[in-house]
Amino acid sequence: MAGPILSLDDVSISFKTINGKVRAVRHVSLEVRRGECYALIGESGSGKSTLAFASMGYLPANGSIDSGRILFNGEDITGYNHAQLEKLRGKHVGMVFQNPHTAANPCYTIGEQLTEGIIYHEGISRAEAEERALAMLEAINIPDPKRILERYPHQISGGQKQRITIAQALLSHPDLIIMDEPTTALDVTTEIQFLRLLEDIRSRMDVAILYITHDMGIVARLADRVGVIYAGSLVEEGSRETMFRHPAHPYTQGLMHSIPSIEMDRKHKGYSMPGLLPNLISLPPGCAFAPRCSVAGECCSSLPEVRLIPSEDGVEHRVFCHHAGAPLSFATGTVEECVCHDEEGVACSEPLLEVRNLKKYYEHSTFTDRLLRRAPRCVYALDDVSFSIMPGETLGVVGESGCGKSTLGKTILRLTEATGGSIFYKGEDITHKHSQSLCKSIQIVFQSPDSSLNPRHSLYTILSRPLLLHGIASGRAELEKRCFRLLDMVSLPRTYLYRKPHQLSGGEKQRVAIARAFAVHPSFVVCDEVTSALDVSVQASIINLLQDLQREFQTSYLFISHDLSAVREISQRIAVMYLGRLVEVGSTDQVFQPPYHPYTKALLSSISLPCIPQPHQSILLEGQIPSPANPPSGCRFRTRCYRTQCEACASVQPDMVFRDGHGLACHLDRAVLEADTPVFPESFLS
Amino acid sequence: MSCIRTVFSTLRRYPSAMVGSVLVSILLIVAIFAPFIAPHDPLKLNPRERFAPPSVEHVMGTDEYGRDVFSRIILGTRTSLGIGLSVTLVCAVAGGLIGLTSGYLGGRADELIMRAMDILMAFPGILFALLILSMLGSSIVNVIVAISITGIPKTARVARSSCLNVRGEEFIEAAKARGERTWYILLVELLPNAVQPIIVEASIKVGFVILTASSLSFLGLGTQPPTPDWGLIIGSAREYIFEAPMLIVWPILAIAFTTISFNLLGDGLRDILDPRELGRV
Repeated sequence: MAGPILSLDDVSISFKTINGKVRAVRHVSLEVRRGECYALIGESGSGKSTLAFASMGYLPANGSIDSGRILFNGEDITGYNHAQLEKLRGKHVGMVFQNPHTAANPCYTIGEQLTEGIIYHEGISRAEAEERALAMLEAINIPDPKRILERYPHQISGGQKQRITIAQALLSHPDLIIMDEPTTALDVTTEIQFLRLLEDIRSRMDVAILYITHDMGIVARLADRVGVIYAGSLVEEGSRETMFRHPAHPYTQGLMHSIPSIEMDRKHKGYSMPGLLPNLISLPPGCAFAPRCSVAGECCSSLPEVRLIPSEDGVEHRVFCHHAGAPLSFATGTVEECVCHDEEGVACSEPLLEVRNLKKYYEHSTFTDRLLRRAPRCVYALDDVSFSIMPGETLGVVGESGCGKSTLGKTILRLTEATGGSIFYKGEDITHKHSQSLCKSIQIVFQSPDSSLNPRHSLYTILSRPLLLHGIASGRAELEKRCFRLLDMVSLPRTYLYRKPHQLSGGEKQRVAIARAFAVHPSFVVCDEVTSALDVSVQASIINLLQDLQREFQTSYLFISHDLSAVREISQRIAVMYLGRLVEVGSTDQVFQPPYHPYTKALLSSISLPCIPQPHQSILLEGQIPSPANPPSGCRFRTRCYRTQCEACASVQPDMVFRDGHGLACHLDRAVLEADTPVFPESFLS
Repeated sequence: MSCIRTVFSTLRRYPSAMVGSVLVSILLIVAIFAPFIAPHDPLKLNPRERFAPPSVEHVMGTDEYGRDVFSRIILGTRTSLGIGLSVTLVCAVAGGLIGLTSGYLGGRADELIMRAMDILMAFPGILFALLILSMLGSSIVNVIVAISITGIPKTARVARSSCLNVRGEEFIEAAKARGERTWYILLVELLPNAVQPIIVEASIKVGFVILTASSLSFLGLGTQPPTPDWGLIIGSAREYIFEAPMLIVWPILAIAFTTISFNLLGDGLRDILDPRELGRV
């Protein structure tokens, strides 16, 4: 019987702020057993990271542990002094942080940073430490480990950096590794490599993992046991199988239903949980989830006791709910297709926006370059991109980060000047045209609502400005009326009008950004990663909102995202980009079924689905995404392609070949591609 | 009312801002009510009482013409603060606009403006001010002009770097996508988010300007006698340093007090206006 390596016993943590005491974690008891992977899931602000870090003594100066014991290997560490904590962290616990780019110090080589810890804590010589670091990098399959050790953090890619941090965490042979959303900053194709590595490490080493995440797909792949945390308290805990098949707490059930997933019926709207996380300063007595819960009754004003539910696999299943297991309904409305008609009721046949051979090169030349008359270095952000969008249609654009999808959005908005090619809007060439009426017709919603709303302006200023600028309304009373209508449109309370953005939650801010874009009734909106910065529980509601607005205003979307599930839900057609070029374009069903472009198949297969077991085999792409400043000759994907290649692959850029409106840019025979096995079983894509 | 209460509750949490603002308020009150506070006429000569030691009648004694030093120091606050604040205002407005525009436009225009600022900065400040004053002649207005010109480049740099931080934010892109004009983006979208470092720089600058102005007066190119001015007092007291050493100490103390007050205020403002702190206020 494996004993617990870390056990939390009735732990409460609070932070002192000027607004009052924030009770970030309340009476949490859980244990991580030797060699197991325990996933802690919850929305942002639920206290999951606080809990994990506090259990290693990492608390900011204003935080304190109010009650409870934290036992590491049976020893209470709450009373540890600085030196003892240092020893604990250095020798027995490893950490992997969310952002690999800031976790490494840019002033030191990878080798110096890897060996620093073990030299200090174990007193071994530098040579010995380097040998161990090298062996560790080899063990986790990092190519060319000797050179990696000599490099500086900026010289290696994000995926590699995250693997290095794993190596660093493993070097001291710890009993436990704490991982705080380690794949959130990574692309799906890199994420899957990372997850494979973790699986591999777990099969070979006896190390426990406390994995903090909000991604259910990863939980389904990795975890042994799962704990769900809401507003600082543990609401449910059980084995992975139990949690996915028979979740008992209403919150867990809601969370499971709100994940946009490949297996979801596209005809149905996504489920989104009503309400917001409660304010942790003035928490209601009793169950914190009660205000958002559909089965909450009078008994919920008292704190729910733990309930043990018998599980199929015998793993303890704890639920903190008065109504555990109560049947809930997650039924949602259906999505009506948006079909555009002209004034005579005939369906539109002319594309609203057409992009032909669009090119965007970023030229960079230094002073010495100019002096020596060297050709400027070029970054090929967009190369020969062509597609068209019909009125009322959504075109999803997917690809890894750096593939040029955001540049595409900005070039269409003419925020950056195109290097070549042309953009047609309603048949008119607008490539180099700047006019107020175009600004009114073409709008954009950005990824991060924190950055896209001016923090100094009130919602009134933010929403009324486009109305005023484009002469839609004027005068205080009329503007206010219009702004109220905009708030109604995105389902925000009217009382928000004079608030500043920082008083709103992430999802609410994104709604404001959408309202601002729709204030001028645009016919085309670029949605640049609009759901990526949001919690899973609100992603669905934003997608639903976009779909409702689309039907109301007959708007077309260019929906840029790296989240294939979200793209599948909203898009009628999908374009796949790789290194500045389109590799596949087609209807959503065409893209998700063979024939696939090899890259599309790799992308699709890298998704982690929230089901057990994973219904599909993942294809691991070798190597790194090449630099867009120096793309490979011929087919750009050839350096990572896993299929047998022909001569043309290395020399000729493949043209997009269309059949039934489904375009593929690949030298391989269409018949061969058509014979490909589907990534997901038929039954999945309804 | 609630606004004042917020200001006080904020100040209580930042001791240096608290002390700084109290000291600066004292200075401002002294400057405004100087004629009522001063016990004697600062210009009145009294040859019979030259170099009188501190007494109840003359708290800081008298100078070489028998004028009351305390009254002269009190009245000197007006000149010093007047020059200090007006130069700072000119620098903050002109330098701020130059820096913001330069940072926002980027490219060639940015290059051109910043190199011009670099050239101005390459001259030692006091030397440059001396040059301007010897060309324009000495008067308070010219002192303000001279010190402003030497001070603008620094403010412009601060404004530019803070503008570069904000320029990449998506709300700027959103404003461009909406079709806003450049001046609107600069003044309404950019400025409110980039103004904090400029304010902080300005408040620290006040002390520095007062020092420079005093140095110019000391060299005889700033305010002209018999105007009561701290730099001038030091300049004339220098000759009698062995006969009346305290004569030179009083204005030095006044200058030090003022400089420290504004620096404390600046330090405090920097902490308060730190964007990371904004969420907490």
